[in-house]
Amino acid sequence: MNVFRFELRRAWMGAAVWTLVLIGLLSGLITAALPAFLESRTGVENMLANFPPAFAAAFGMQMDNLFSFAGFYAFGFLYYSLFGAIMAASIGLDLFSREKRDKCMDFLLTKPRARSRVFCEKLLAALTLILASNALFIAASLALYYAYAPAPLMPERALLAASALLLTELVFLAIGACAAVFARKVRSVSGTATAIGFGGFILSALHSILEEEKLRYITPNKYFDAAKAFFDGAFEANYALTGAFLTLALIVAAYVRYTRADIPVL
Amino acid sequence: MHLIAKEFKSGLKPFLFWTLGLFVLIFAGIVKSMGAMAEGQFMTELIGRFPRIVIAVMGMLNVDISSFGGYYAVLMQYIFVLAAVYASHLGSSAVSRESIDRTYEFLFTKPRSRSFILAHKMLATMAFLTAFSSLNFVFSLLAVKQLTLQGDYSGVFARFSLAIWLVGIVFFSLSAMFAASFRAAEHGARAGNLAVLGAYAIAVGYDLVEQPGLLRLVTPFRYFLQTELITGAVSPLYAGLCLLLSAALLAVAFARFERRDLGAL
Amino acid sequence: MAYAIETKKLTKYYGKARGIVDVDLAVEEGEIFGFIGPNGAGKSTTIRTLLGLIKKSGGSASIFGMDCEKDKVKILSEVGYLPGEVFYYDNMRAVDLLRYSASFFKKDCTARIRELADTLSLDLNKKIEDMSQGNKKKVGIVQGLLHAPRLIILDEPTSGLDPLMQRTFFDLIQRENERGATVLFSSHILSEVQRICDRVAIIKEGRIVDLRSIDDLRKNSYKKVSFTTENPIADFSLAGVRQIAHDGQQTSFLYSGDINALLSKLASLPLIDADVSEPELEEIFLHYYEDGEAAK
Repeated sequence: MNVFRFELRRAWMGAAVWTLVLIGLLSGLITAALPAFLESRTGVENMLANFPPAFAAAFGMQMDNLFSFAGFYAFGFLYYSLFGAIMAASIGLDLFSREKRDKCMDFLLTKPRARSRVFCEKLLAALTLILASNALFIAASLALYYAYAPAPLMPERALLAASALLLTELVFLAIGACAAVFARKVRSVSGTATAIGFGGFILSALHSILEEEKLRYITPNKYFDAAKAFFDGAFEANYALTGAFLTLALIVAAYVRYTRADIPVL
Repeated sequence: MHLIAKEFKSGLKPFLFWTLGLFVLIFAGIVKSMGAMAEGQFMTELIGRFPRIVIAVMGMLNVDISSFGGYYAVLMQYIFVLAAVYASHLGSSAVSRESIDRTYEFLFTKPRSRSFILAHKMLATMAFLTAFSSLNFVFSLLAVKQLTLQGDYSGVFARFSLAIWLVGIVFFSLSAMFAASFRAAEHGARAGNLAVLGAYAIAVGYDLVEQPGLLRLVTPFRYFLQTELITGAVSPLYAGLCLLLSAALLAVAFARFERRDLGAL
Repeated sequence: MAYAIETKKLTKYYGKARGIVDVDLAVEEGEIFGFIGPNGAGKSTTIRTLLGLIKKSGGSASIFGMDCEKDKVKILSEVGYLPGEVFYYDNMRAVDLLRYSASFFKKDCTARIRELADTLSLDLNKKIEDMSQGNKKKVGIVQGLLHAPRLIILDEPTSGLDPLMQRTFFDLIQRENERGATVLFSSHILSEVQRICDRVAIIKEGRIVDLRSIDDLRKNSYKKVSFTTENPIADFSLAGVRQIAHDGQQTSFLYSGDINALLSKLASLPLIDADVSEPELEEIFLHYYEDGEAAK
């Protein structure tokens, strides 16, 4: 497990900073804006009274969902998932391109460890970082839920909603790992990770604008919908399965490539 | 001139990637604007009832999304961030590409000053940024043709595109400065990316407070306010500030780059 | 007993590009085996195939009787490898890198790291990226030897080392050899190979063109002869002379054949000076290339 420990030691700082940013954003948004947001419901209801009844009725249906802890949490999720995606992609890129960037593939791969073992230890280190980060994020989410959500509480749904970030990050971890293994050269981890993160963000913005359901199958940020988790107690199976399948496929592809590829002379 | 040509070649792929993002966002956004505007009045009023912080986070403060201009301004919010991230990437890679590839010995032992080489590289990368902003204008014009809109929006598009370019060069120069200052290229790139995120957070903070005052000076994302760009002009004062700031940052970048120890990383 | 290294018709193509073709090697345990050839001849390709860094296209390769692909992990625990150019993780002290390196082996290497670093006078607490090429190389040497490997593979190892350090390095390798380690030493500098190797294989354009002992190479092949006369001699001829060159009063050539015939021929000339010596390997080696050129 020396590769595992080595990777953890080298990568934990970055993950810790991202986790702090994420939790800061989450708690900042909820403590600063949630109470005012819930109060603004009366204003909105007054406004709705001035609109045609059909219009108001259609929208009024969603009022309970919108003006709730869940609605607000889902609103912020757009940003959490952007940051989470960048973090996860950069962990994947960092760990799996470390030797490539430092030109020391020879060093690692002439040690008496099977490449499959090296890959697994790296993957395990990446997963550990993501899981630890999300354990904190989920704990913060639940604490805020208990503190700010009105009764009746449904903590198991809050848990599921908060784990949407974890699952989304796993997809991006796989994307980052795959990019790292297949790229001939990784120039900048943070640059590439930001590009991947914003790529996901643009796809999800596109999906919101176009409202094209098929598009959602290629929008990793929307495979695991926090709002749905809150309101229905489950993710939408077809998208969640797409996400799971994609993650698995990317990891397998990265594994095959990592264990088989010829290592060129620098 | 070889230098510029080579820089063009190596920057082409990322350019196409970012341009694709730009294209997709603008076309999808503009083509779908009709539907959004139909509900625009309702949405504007609805959003107006939300607490200020929520509106600020959504980037919809002071815009009327029932008009095309207001809708476009919200769309441009994304493009500003996109352009800033891209510009920051361009700036840091112009400075540290050779260090990362470990080909610096090849390039910087040629009989040219470092500043000469860096200036040419920057000229080439700056051209990508200029092309990106220009394409914003072109894509917007092409996309709006798909709609049956009254009025001529080319002025609005031109103002936004110019503003994007101006904000872009500030982040370009800032990242170039970081890349020239940090020893490890990765640290420079990370600082540039964090600067973009930080500036965006400050921009949200700017929207949040009723009287931001000097806060505007801190974040390039608010040098050009959406309301001004829709109706008025590109503020010459802030345009000047952008140019001045970029010049100053680039001057620092060049000075540091001239003096630094070149090496891998 | 199994050979330390044995390859049979080992072949590697990179796509359509030739790497190595039908390479047959048999390195016995305990010897220092030289592997020489010009740049691009296939030395590194052979070594990287042995180490499992690249996959062979055909043939077989084994180390200590174990297959280089199937038993790679077992083999690598007995092998130390030093590449020509060394790069390591940035932002890391030498000692941390060496500890990481040692953690791959199931033995305590602390004492040996100390000992090797002392021999090479290497400061282990410095960051590797702040070191000179030569010192980085020393880190590489310690890194390759710290687990007391049974087989040491050196791929053009001396670049970046000053002559004094090269001597220390060769002494070190010879000591490892006396300890029982087999050494595969690849180089394009023949004097290095001459210095420590027992046998040598010559590789050219991906194929092994010759294999012999160093002594054999020297003794049974050529003498380097040069002599000076008052007046230039243009028509010197004798069976077994090759590469004859005239330079004013001086005539020089390589000779193989009966030494008495040579001496009596020389005795008949009005000599001012004469010199018969063993040629440098470079000069012997040259003919492999010249013959190759002529064959084309």
